[in-house]
Amino acid sequence: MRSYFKLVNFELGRFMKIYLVLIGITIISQIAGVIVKSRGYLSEANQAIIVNSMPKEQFLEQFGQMSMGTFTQSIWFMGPIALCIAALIFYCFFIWYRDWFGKNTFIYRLLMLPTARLHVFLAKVTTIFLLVIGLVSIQLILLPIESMILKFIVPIDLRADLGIMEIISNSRYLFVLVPDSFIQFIINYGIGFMVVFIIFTAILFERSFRLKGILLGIVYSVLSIIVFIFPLLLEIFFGVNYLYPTELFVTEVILAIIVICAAIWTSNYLINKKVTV
Amino acid sequence: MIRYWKIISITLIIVLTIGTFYIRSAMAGNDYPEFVFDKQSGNENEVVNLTLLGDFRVGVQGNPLEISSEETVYANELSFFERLRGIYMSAELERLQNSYRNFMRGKDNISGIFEDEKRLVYVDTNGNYVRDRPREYTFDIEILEKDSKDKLDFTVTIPEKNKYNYVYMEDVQVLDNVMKVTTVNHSVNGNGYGSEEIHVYSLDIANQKLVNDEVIQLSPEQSSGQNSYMYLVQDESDIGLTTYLVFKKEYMEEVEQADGNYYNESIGSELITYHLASGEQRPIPLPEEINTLNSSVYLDDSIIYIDKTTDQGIKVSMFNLESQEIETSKTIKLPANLTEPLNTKIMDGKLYVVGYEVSKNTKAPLLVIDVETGKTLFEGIIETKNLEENHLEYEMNIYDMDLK
Repeated sequence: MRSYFKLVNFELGRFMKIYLVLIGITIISQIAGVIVKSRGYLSEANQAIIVNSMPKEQFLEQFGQMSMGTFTQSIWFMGPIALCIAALIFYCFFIWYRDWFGKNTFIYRLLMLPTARLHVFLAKVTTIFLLVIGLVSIQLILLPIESMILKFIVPIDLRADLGIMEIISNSRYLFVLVPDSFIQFIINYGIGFMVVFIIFTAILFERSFRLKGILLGIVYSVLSIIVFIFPLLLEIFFGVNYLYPTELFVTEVILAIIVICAAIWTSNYLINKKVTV
Repeated sequence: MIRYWKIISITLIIVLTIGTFYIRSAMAGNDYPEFVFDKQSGNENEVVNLTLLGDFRVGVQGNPLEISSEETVYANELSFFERLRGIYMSAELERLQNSYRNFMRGKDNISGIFEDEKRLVYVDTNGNYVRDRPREYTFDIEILEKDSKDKLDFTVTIPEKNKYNYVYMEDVQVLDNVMKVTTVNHSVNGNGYGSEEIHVYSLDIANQKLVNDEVIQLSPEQSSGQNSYMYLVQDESDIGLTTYLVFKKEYMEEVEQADGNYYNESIGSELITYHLASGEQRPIPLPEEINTLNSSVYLDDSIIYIDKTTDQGIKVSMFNLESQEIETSKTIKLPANLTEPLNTKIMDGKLYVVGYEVSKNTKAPLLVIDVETGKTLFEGIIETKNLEENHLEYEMNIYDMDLK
């Protein structure tokens, strides 16, 4: 257990610099964005109401009230989120390949550690998990701060105040990242991490059998996905839907557990018996 | 410990923020307002079973809701598993799924269900999927004998194969050993124009064969250039035996709008009945003054109710299919201040009237009127309770009502 925690801590450390930069970009872009957007709205309002002497009601009718909903749709807000997502997807692959193609074939030392090799695999999965959920947490901390800044800049009669949950459910993308029920949260990220398990196993196939491994990895991934969505495939292609929604849900949970167990078992085998340095 | 600061700090941040977020959103419950039926006169028992379906909106974000005399339930308050079951599942379907869990698997189209004391029947149309090309359709029939729990299933091919693109289930009735299946058949002719026909198929259950195929037709006064549209008046959630099927046909004409677009305007309509036992079709002889154009038509056993909003009030008529006579036809005057458009619906012989919109400046009226006597049984308005400051600019739209 101790070696596993050590490995997770070590893996986190290796990404920490880039991670902090990603967080920094997010904070700066979003805080700057909410200021720029609020000020922009305010100067538009000033221009229209004071300079062009348009009645306030008419201005509100034309431009609408300023709210966090407007801001969360802007590039200032979505841009850094997209960047973080792209960076982490990239790191899913890099977290393995850096060990082989780094300066001194680090994987050699990792696999030589006096601990179960599966720990290396699980530590990398845990790292990705913590990094992803960590970014979501940062976003949840940022939202009320941004909301406060907006309230500070835009006077009350020009803005619509939204609660954090309303801000989130207003934005389609944010709602996927932070759904309104905790079970849905576990489902979204559960599916996400099932995919991470599959990708990691496919990478180990490639590392074990090289070119032939790429093919094996692809076949393995497709099979895993087919197993997971099997009930849906039955319904789409054969019109078979015998299961009630709750039963379908339980079936999917069981299938996801099967897929994840298969990935761990396969990876354990590959990393112990087949992987080449 | 200090060596593990990275893993500890990240985990701590995650648990604290995600935890607080979901605990708070669970504890806070909803801060959406409550809507109540505020009585002004009459008997509040009249609205005890009434449910209004609507949409609550602040700014751009809408939230569906259901208002009953006891509570206001918002869609986003439902738990994950309640949402999984479906928010708008009909009460009838839910009852059948609970009582006949295995038989009802995969059967979610209420139009294909028939139930009496002896049996539960499900009919589904099935066609080999070829995109927008006519194809062969079949009826997949399953019958559950309630006493013996015996299940019978068989398939019957729909005649005139390769003529229809789609065959939609509308209704199923079972009279002794004959099953009457009503469908809307959609076909495309050579010019690419679509047309619809309503068919009533008679199936012999004992021999598992189709014995008759009738098309519901109305007087051929339909002139060229007119479009028409026909539908079954029966409420789809009525799954028991009826004596008549009632169809309404509307004639439409393309009218050019000010913006240059064409749109269909109803120019006439008629009602036709199909007597299930005899298979006799006949138009309902309604007098000139009862015009079904732009009106709502309801069927309650052998009584047809018609309601139509006019300048003078709401005109309601009752037509008895057995005696072929008009039992009532009167205009119910509404309180003078009700000028807004209104939702109207006749259920259980009573006319329910409710406004479309509730907001800061608009109060929606709610009226229950006995159709036969014209007496107002309940009069009130829909009031808000617990309105939070951030919802002052709300708008609540009511689009349907139902009796639970």
